[in-house]
Amino acid sequence: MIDVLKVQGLKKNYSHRQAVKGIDLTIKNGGSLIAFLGPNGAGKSTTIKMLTTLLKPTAGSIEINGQQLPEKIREQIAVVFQESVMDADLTVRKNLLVRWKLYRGQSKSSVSELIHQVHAQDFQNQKYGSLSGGQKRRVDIARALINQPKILFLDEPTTGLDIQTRSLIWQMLSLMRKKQGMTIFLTTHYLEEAEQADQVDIIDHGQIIAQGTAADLKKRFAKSQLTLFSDELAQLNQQLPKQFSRQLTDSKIVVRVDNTADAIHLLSDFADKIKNFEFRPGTIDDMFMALTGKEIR
Amino acid sequence: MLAITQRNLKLYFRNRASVLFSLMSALIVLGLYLVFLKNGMQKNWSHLPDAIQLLDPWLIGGMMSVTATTASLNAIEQLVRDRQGHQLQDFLVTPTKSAWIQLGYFLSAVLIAVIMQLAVLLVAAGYFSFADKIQIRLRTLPALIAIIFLNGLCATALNLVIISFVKKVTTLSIIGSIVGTASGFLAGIYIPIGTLPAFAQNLIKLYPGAYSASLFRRILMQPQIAVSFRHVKEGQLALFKKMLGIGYQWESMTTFTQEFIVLAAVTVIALVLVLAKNRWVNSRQA
Repeated sequence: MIDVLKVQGLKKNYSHRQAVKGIDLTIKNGGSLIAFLGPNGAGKSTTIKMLTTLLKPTAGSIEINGQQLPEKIREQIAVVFQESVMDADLTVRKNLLVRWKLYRGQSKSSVSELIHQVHAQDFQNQKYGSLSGGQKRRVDIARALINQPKILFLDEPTTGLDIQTRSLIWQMLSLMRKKQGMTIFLTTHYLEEAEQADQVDIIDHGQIIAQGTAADLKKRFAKSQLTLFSDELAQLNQQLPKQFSRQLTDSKIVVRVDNTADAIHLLSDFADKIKNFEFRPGTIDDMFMALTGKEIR
Repeated sequence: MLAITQRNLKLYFRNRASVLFSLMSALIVLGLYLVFLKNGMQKNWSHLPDAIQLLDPWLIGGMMSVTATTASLNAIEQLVRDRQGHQLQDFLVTPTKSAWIQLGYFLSAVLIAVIMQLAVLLVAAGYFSFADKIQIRLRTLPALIAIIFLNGLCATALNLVIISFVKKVTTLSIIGSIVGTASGFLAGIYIPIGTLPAFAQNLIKLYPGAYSASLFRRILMQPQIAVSFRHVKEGQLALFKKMLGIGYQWESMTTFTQEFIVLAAVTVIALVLVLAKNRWVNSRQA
């Protein structure tokens, strides 16, 4: 079977700096959700631009659904850009028709179907510029689906949207994934969106530094957090085993533990000194912090 | 390609401001002429029969020349806006070849320049035929339309060269106001070339828009010239043409054909420059 995406040795040099230093990336199954994460300046945008044929790689190969030529790749992909890229002065329908004409082999009625699909019938004859942020995004997604792409690239698609719109958009997208086997390649600021991903790739300094399912990466890199409250904080802090990293504040100690077993041990060993505690399993944020040393953004 | 052209035309004509700014220079030229210049020029040439019927079409020629420059610059602004707002990327991720997309932008700017020149011709000819009883002969139309297209092509190609160095819309609007003001002077429209010092005359001779102005004047004024100069001394006509910029003094006075070739050559050179720069940028990106 042909891989949906196969990237080998992808590099991009700018005159003074190596933005991307050799990336390998494979997506085997159609219909999966890939989260591509990295702090700012990690090479994320450069990589996406190369994958979407907007930037020529310095070295390496990109194969999407068996196609290598940029013109052929463009038939297989679509992009939802971070900012709105439709014309504010044209209606929703007109905007979609303009883009539709740039593709071949899709019937004109497919535009009406797409409008239906993203629930945009009510405002299809309104100017795009007059829509709310969420409505705009739905239209952007309809535009991206014109050519029934094998891979849909979403570049921080839900930034600045309210929670209802975000969940509506995710509902729509997961439906497409299931029905049409469309693969989604996502970059996002909201790490909880990456939580759903079948595959998470983390990039920093132009290289992939970790790869796996969200659960797997969390298990490997995200430490759980045990917060202890006590009347004898200073003393407790001294007695805790040295191998656990911790933070002491006026009212509590936050201890990083690898797993629940460690937490239970600690709690029972120091039961007499602990007045109260909170336990939080490692999140994808913790994993991201541990890997890149930075908060996302 | 046509999808892009259609879209750009729609966006342009939806935007009242861009239409108005495209016409601004032509309107200023008209205003200046009516308020300040017309009287003085009329006195200068009062020994000619029907001087006004000669001077009005002279002005129309200049207005059309400058309109192509300002209109195509306003039209091509869409490309800068689309580059800045990433609309261009949205087009470039489609299977349509990028050359076709760029040609779509070019074509829309040329068409807008043509449409606006026609509009200026219609309005100015209408006004002057009402005010001064001038006549534009129908048989001059084919030649006029040919020059309108050539002028549109040439102005758009030159503006593309400018645009290829501009990244921001704000920069472009500054350039726009400079071009709008300068082109009127450089084409010898605000003030006739004959009254200017030698240096200014040489500047005008270097500016392509001056040649389109001359071509328009030739076509628009020819019928009246034939009448007005029938009984005037030999040499007067040559002086008149030299003063008003109907032909320019190179070795000898330029001819219609030479001016046509100047515009065509400038168009080709400008397009080659743009393509070469594109290629250079692309190769550096690789």
